[in-house]
Amino acid sequence: MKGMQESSWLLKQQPDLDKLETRLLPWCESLSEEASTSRSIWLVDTFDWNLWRKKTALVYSLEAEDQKGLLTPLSLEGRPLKFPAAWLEACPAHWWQLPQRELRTFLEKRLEFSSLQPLIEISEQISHWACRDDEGKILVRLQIRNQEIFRLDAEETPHYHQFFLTCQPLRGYEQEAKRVKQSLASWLKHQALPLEPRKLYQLCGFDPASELLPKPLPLSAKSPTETLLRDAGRLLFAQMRRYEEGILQDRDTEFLHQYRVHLRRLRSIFSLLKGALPRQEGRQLNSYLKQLNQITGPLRDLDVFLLQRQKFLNLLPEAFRPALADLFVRVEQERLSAHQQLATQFLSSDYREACQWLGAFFTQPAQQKTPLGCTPGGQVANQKIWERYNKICKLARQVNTQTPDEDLHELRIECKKLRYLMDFFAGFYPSKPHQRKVKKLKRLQSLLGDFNDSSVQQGFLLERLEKDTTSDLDAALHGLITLLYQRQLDIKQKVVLELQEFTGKHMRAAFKAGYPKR
Amino acid sequence: MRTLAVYSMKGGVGKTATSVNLAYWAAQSGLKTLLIDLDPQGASSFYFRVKPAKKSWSKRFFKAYEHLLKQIKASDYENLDIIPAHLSFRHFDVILKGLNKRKSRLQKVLKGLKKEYDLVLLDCPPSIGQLSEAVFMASDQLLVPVIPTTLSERTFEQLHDFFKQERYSRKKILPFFTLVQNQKSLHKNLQEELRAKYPEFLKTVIPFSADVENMGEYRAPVDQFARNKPANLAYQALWKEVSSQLGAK
Ligand SMILES: Nc1ncnc2c1ncn2[C@@H]1O[C@H](COP(=O)(O)OP(=O)(O)O)[C@@H](O)[C@H]1O
Ligand SMILES: [Mg+2]
Repeated sequence: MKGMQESSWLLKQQPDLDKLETRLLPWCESLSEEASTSRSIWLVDTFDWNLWRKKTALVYSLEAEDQKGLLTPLSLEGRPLKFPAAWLEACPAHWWQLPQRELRTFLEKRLEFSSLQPLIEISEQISHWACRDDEGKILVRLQIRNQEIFRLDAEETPHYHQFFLTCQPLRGYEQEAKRVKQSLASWLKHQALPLEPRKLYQLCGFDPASELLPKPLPLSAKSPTETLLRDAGRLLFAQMRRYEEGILQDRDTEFLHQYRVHLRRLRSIFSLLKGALPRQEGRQLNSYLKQLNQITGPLRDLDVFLLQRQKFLNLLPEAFRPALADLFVRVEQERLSAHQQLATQFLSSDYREACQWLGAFFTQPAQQKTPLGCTPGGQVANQKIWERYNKICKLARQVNTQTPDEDLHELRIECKKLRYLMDFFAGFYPSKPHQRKVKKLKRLQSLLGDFNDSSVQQGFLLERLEKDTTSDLDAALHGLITLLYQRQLDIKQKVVLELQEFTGKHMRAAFKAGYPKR
Repeated sequence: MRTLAVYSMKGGVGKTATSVNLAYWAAQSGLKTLLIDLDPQGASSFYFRVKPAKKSWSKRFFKAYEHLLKQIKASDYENLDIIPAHLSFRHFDVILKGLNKRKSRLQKVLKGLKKEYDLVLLDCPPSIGQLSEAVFMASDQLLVPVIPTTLSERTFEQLHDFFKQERYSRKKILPFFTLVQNQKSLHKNLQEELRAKYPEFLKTVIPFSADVENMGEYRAPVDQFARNKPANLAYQALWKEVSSQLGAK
């Protein structure tokens, strides 16, 4: 059983203590300052606002002279979430730095590989006051907070000042607290929590929504396809470049991953709708995009392998682990030089030229030189989606557990294409039925993705088998490859089942109705 | 949750002084602590400046846990809450006589506090009767202050006999010396004698000290006004010793 909740008021300036005393003395015998403390508070989120997107925030607060600070999950309105906060020596960058508790699981789901970074700092001075009765017993506690707030992403940022008065009821003294609260409320009026993440972001000029791409992309079904492509291209390209700085600083693996996700979306829509551009321009575009893909590929491959470290080590018996751990150390080294190379590329004039060309291309008005380019997107969407779905159905008919891997890979590519189309055109369709199909497709893709990852990993390990030749590592790698192969067989069975559903009678009817011929 | 009672049949042996300071140190060590003042004199409530409850509630004490919760008051110290005494506690013994399974009643009521508290400390009145027996049942340990005088020795042996006779576990009894004046040879000799006979006596000894008497004037635990004095250090050491015994169980 909890007592009453504390109440806080936002003040325009440092409260006038004489006035405060006059207000309170009818309800208590004395008002005295007990102590003053100070603490620093950091509001943290990821570069892509993973927490904000889920309507949550994370706060790390460290009392002056304390060794450990408190990491607390909050709603954007500043209410604590159900599960307990964690004590940590420093503000963590990743969920895996937390002790094994609910908060860790909560963050794991929301952050994955994205790192946390402090966005706003609040340095807070608190003076603690007590209202006492005639015998000197404390009836109600009050806190006056003086906050200095500033963002951390630039050197010279404005500092904002806020004052709060908080009334903390004590158990067994609820009546007294109620009276104090009432006499304060009639005077202070503006009730607010002293830490409301949404308001703090606003105060410091953060606008998460404007940093993220809207979903679906804001495109009109009536626009000609070429216009749609250039508009979408501009948005995706800008979003992709947002990650460059984080890649250069090597903040976490997610920056490069997201860069490549956006690059892939760009390449796919232009290639799926390539008839909308004159051939020459299309080729040029493709060659620049391919260039970006090539310079970022090697580092990502190493990242993908390194991210599996724990999983791979866990798969093997103890005796084989040291050899594999050594391999990871070597790959880590390779990664350093791969990052160096990528950084050099990013800073080269070649890269600058490519980006200049692409930027100009996406902002150019439509040329309207091809029939597809002039057709309204709405018409094109139906046709393209239906054709692609149909193709998947045809391929699916030949798939069973004996199907060679290459056929499954082809199927995976086709599903990807369908997915890019459905995401690109998503804004043209009523959200519910469209998203229901996308969800089914996602399930299938996730299995096909696992299947593919597994064979990519086997390939990576086989390659290593040829390069590194200690007998211990040999044994470890052979073991791993065998295990991964076994897994792949299991996944194959699941793919077959999922595919049957996705191309079955039900789904076909739904696709036919959802994307009819015009 | 552990339940610790500070008990003696004798008055004026330092039960309340011990309860107040131990509750304080338990809370300081981070345990959510509830001190229940069972003595109608209300001395431990007095030291924490908590006024006694206005309404009579002792009849309900053994009926419903909710009524107990309503009596809880926050002290001025973190982690420490208090249930203040009330004059009607005097009737406890009478009420308990009228109840079925009266001896285990208190234990059941206290069980409900498990969710909220790590430690419940009972400051008991000096008597032997129904209430005391309910306390014996409800407590994990019974902390018994003993002044090294022949009279106190006799009282302690009576308690021992009573436990034996009524088949309470004598392991619950944790005696310690208090109001000790080592300049008196009688005090020294008696301590040695009793320790030889009852090895369960705690190592920590609470000295006779004006600082403890001054609690009445300051109305606060000794640590608040005589931080570095021997009496304060003794209570702190006593808590350490008691808590290691409580934890071991
Ligand atoms: N260690 C001590 N040194 C000096 N006086 C003490 C000490 N312990 C208790 N007293 C005093 O003895 C009197 C009785 O103590 P109290 O704790 O109320 O005993 P009880 O609760 O057993 O009746 C009080 O006046 C108290 O201040
Ligand atoms: Mg007493």
